[in-house]
Amino acid sequence: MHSFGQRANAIITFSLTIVAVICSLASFSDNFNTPSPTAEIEVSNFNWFQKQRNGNDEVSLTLNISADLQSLFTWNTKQVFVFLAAEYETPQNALNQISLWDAIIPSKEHAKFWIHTSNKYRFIDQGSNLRGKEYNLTLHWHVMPKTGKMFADKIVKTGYRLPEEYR
Amino acid sequence: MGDILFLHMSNDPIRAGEIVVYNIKGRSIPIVHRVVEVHQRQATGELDILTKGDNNREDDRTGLLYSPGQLWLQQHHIMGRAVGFLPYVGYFTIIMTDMPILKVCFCCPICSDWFLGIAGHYIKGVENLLGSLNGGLDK
Repeated sequence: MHSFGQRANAIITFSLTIVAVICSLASFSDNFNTPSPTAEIEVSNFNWFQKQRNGNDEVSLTLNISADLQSLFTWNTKQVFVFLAAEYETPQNALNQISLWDAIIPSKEHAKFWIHTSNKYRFIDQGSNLRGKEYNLTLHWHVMPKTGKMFADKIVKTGYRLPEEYR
Repeated sequence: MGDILFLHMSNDPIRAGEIVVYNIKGRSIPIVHRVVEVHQRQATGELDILTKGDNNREDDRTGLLYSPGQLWLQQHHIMGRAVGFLPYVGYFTIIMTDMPILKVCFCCPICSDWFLGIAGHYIKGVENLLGSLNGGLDK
């Protein structure tokens, strides 16, 4: 009555439809998660602070970052990309965002951490505006799902200030 | 590899952390990397953007992905932002590209007829599925 082709077609259609529905539900289920991450960021030392030959300021600093990002993980989470950016304003630029450090958190077990590190990426201004500059340190995270929509958010820590003089 | 990435572009300014797709003149393949630095001009709002692949040690300028002498990307280089993704589904496209013989196979009348038939049957199959569900409820 039904040929092999008709049966195969019916099975494939059904399977693909189910897979699409499951992926959508998996992604949608992430909306029910209410994350409550915490973080503390401390600049423990300014290692050096110089003006480069091309006229741009550069600073090297040592950071203490402690964070608990476990509440970001759901069963549909593949990994979380976290990075720390210095954000500040200058006369020339309304906004400067410079990533100083980043990491990939592969699982919930690794999501509560404390790290003591110098900046992974160089903190170089466009110009020579950094002496005495007030800046924010913002911890950003991007949640990468196994399937579906990516989520991103951040915690902004204010009140940091660079040294008045080069060293 | 083999993942499908969903892209979206709005006029909102690019910010650090976003995953963007950009094309450099003269390069054939667009690059999907994360923004690691943004500098936004006061008066014009123009942006200088620096990108880096998550698994790369160096940013894309040091890694020689930009044109020679190019220090930054501008907003107009960015084709879109990645907003979501489906794993593995793209393998079909990759297989087609890596084994061009398959493209020829798919284009020959018998196969393409078969594929068009499958597409038609897919639609009919979904209708049957919904029909049988409704039918089941009626009984």
